[in-house]
Amino acid sequence: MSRRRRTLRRVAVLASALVVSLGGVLVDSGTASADPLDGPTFWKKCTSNMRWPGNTGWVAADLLPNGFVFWTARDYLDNNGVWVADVFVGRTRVDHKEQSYNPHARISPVDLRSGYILHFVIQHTDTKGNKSFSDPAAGCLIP
Amino acid sequence: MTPQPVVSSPDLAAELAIRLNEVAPDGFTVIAEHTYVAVRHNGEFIGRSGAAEFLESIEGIQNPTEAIERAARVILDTVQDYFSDASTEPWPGTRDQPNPGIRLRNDRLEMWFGDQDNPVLKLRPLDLATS
Repeated sequence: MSRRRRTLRRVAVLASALVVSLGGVLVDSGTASADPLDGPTFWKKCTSNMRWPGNTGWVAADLLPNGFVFWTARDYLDNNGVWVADVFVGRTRVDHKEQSYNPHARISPVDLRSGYILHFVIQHTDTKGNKSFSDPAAGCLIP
Repeated sequence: MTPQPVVSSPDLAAELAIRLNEVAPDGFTVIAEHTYVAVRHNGEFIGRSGAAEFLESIEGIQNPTEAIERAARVILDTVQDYFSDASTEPWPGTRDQPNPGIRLRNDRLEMWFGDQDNPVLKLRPLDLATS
């Protein structure tokens, strides 16, 4: 392999490593975008009884007959500590809160725009300081 | 151009915290913490809503009326949940949780819980400046 080719190959490897690294940071920090064009996630239509489990807990949501979406999050072991919850419809944030117990809320039909992705980004620091993040795929397509 | 209401997120948080504190159940306090509306129960932190920050988002700058309405509705809803979760009693009233309602008209933000025509509880209205 020529020196120029080796250099190009090294640049390509470094570039792909950077992409992988950035991808990890986005997932870990819970700031993944809710735009359906941004990633490979297949968004299912919002329904009743949706649940996105993780290693330490889960996020669940329910599209109710009256058009509201009720959502909640739980830790399997420790629901105290600090919870930070953000809810997006497309790129618009429609809820943001921090609290001392596992969060729940309802989203008004006024904020649920048909054809957009409803996306939950939840972070939890338990009473021992362990951090966990919701599944980046915790979301659905608003019918 | 249509005049748009002008309010900053700390100002909205402060004004809503004052109004919610006026009607808070015994043992609860509602205070503003910069852009947040925070709830304490017997001095212990329950939670805080950062919905007032919607005003400084791109969408909020493009459509302040919609952002103010959304922020106020979410803050009322969240504080209502904090009251009822911590007390294990519905609030306001003694039966089902009434939905929060808001209306921004002529720079005046009206807020209530329950039916608009027959609310369970009304908050003191908030006058917003316009530009």
